[in-house]
Amino acid sequence: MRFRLPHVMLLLIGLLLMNTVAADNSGPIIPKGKGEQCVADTDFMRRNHMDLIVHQRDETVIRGIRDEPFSLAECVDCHVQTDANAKPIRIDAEGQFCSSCHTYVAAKIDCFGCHAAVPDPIDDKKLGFAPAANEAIEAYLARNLAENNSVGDRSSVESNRLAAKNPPDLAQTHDALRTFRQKHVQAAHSARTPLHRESVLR
Amino acid sequence: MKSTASNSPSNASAAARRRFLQGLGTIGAALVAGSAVLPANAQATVKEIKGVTGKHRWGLLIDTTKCATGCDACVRGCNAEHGINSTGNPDTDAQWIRKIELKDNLTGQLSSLPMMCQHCESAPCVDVCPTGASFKRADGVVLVNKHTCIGCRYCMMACPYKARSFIHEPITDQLTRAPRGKGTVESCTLCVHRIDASGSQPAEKSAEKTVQQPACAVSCKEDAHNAITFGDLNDPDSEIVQAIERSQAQQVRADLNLNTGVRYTRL
Ligand code: HEC
Ligand code: HEC
Ligand code: HEC
Repeated sequence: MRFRLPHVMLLLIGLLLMNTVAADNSGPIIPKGKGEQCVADTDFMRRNHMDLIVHQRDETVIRGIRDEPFSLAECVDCHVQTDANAKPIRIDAEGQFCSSCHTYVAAKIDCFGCHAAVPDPIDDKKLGFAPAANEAIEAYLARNLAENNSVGDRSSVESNRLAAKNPPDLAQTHDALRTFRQKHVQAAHSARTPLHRESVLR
Repeated sequence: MKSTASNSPSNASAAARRRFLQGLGTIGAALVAGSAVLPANAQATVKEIKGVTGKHRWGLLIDTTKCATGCDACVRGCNAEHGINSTGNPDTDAQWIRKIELKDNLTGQLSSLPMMCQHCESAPCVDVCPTGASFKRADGVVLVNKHTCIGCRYCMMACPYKARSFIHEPITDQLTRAPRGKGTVESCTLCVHRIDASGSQPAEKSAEKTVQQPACAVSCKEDAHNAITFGDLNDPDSEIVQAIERSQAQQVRADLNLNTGVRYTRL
């Protein structure tokens, strides 16, 4: 009985200490996504990503609409991290993007019980781009190739010779494609943001 | 019964009251919607051009005279497309397509055919589903919405073709294009991801563009059998409709009047 008070005091002091520690690293550590920006404003994404993807989910499954920016596959593509061997880490693994905040707020999602938590291997020919994006990518590559081959440009002649010696590896090409697609998706998105948000928030 | 009832005066006044109340309801709805009329209209136009419509009805024609006994190219193609691997329990492994060998006991004639979801117009699996997860897309493709599937398996009971599988064990290494997981039912999707990817939207365009073939049809062709034709059953000029007419292709269990989207030549 007599020892009770000091115990309670200790406990209180402990709790206080814990509080300060928690305040120090306020919030979860969220791995950064690829590219410049998300498919919508970062603030907006933080608050509304769950509604966006669940809306997208029904659009795709029921109405077959697949060219929208809020696809879960796209989230994985941009937000997945790679380990030291450049191997993708499951996006729902501990500390990874989709579990960073969720662990912090004790939210739990089951999406990656079914959905691939890493992008498909690079050798997958069927990347599933919308046809328009594919065409745009072809055009982009053709343009770039033409630029690189411009006569008289020593540096590009040099780089072409280098490229012939060490052909670019698939991963690089894939990254270039992805960067381009991100731009494409964002352009498409900003072109119709007001209307699209309207329908999303309906 | 109906006509006599509505002739009696009390029923007539009840009907009038119902009409009046309905009118009130409409006015109320209009008032509520008033402020949102413009955006709603704007959305309606967007919706018209986006998403699948009833303009097409996708289906398959299986030519059993070309389907080879013992060949399972379509099954392998399907499994590869959707990342279906054995979990080590063949009894419960998912089967989106299975090969069936039929024998006519009188003539001794053997035939071989792939059996999969028949994409019925009046699908029993859709009727019995308690959550609406088993549904028919506007373009006739019968699907499971795994997001709302509770794994009750009524649809499996209702399906006359035993076309659906339940996933009993956890699955890993899924493909991006084919999310699959424990506790839900699944079956042939007619490769909707391929149909959708080949620009079937806006709906008007797809007539000009060729729609990507499902994986099973592609594998069958690659194996030089060419027994599976995919196409639009709503288009009288399509290859599939022409071939169905030419060969008088049949439905399996036509007696059930389900108007299947998968037809078989020389059953
Ligand atoms: C039981 C398995 C399962 C679970 C769990 C699941 N999905 Fe899906 N999901 C699917 C299937 C199957 C499709 C349809 C794929 C297709 O038609 O190509 C799909 C499609 C989608 C799509 C459209 C395709 C894409 O990549 O954009 C979105 C978005 C989506 N799901 C979101 C979610 C979210 C968010 C969760 C978690 C809250 C979730 N899903 C959980 C099976 C599942
Ligand atoms: C084009 C690549 C790309 C795609 C696709 C993408 N993101 Fe992002 N996302 C980013 C980038 C880059 C940031 C960081 C932006 C910043 O720092 O302001 C980000 C930020 C976020 C954030 C806020 C994170 C934080 O630090 O607070 C959330 C939440 C988010 N994304 C969710 C999603 C979801 C859900 C999807 C799928 C619908 C998705 N993202 C698709 C690139 C992408
Ligand atoms: C910036 C922090 C953050 C990131 C990063 C993040 N989420 Fe969330 N997410 C949240 C919060 C917070 C909630 C809970 C909101 C609530 O409870 O109302 C949530 C809820 C969800 C929900 C709804 C869960 C439910 O039970 O209804 C889904 C689905 C979801 N997130 C998907 C994702 C996916 C997929 C990713 C990775 C692409 C992701 N989130 C990344 C913060 C985040």
